[in-house]
Amino acid sequence: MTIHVEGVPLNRVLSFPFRDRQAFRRFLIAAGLTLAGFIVPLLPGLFVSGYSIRILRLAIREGRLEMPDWSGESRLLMDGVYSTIISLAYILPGLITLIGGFILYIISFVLIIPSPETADTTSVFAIFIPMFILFASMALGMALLMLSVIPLPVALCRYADEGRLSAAFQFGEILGAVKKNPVGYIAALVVCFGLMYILYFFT
Amino acid sequence: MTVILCCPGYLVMLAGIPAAGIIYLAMVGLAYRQGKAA
Repeated sequence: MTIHVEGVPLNRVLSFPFRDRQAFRRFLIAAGLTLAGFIVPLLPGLFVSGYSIRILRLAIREGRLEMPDWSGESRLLMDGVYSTIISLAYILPGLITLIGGFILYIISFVLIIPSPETADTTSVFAIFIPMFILFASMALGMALLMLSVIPLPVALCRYADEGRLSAAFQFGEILGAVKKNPVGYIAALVVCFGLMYILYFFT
Repeated sequence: MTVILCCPGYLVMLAGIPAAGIIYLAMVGLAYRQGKAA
């Protein structure tokens, strides 16, 4: 029995970046640029993001799982910039909550911490306030980041399909697209997490 | 010795992360296409 993902056999989905010599060469460029992103900030990452949009566009418009070519650097860069803007906008609430909570934690800790001479029972209990701020902001921030996991790829799909930045922020349409095929998006997440787990297990 | 032993693992991980990302995006694209057609 063959497992199918949206009508495509799973083994074809998992192997398409390495299907032939040309696809593998294009994949190696993506892997090399990802590696370069650890050394050179921003630019390699923008190209990889632009290339991701190109892969999405092929899958959406033509239903093809292929590694597209790397030609048209300016278009790649533009797509990369736009997809980075979209991703940042979606993770921003979670990010602000996490960073803001940590800053509040530091400030409240400095303000509340009692000196040994003036410490009494009340001020000792006050130490728990910064801890509460830290844990509450961590929980809320992580929840917000997790909430963006499903709409963000759909927003990127809408940008890849329509080529307009505003298409990624039409929340009604995005929610409608998620509702039309929730299993498909969850299956993609499960496969991705499975691959990451296998990688983690073997490395 | 540690570097020699760990190097293949790190290389697999460095190549594996973009591979997982690419496969994930392709699956999301197909899911979106399917939803659009429905």
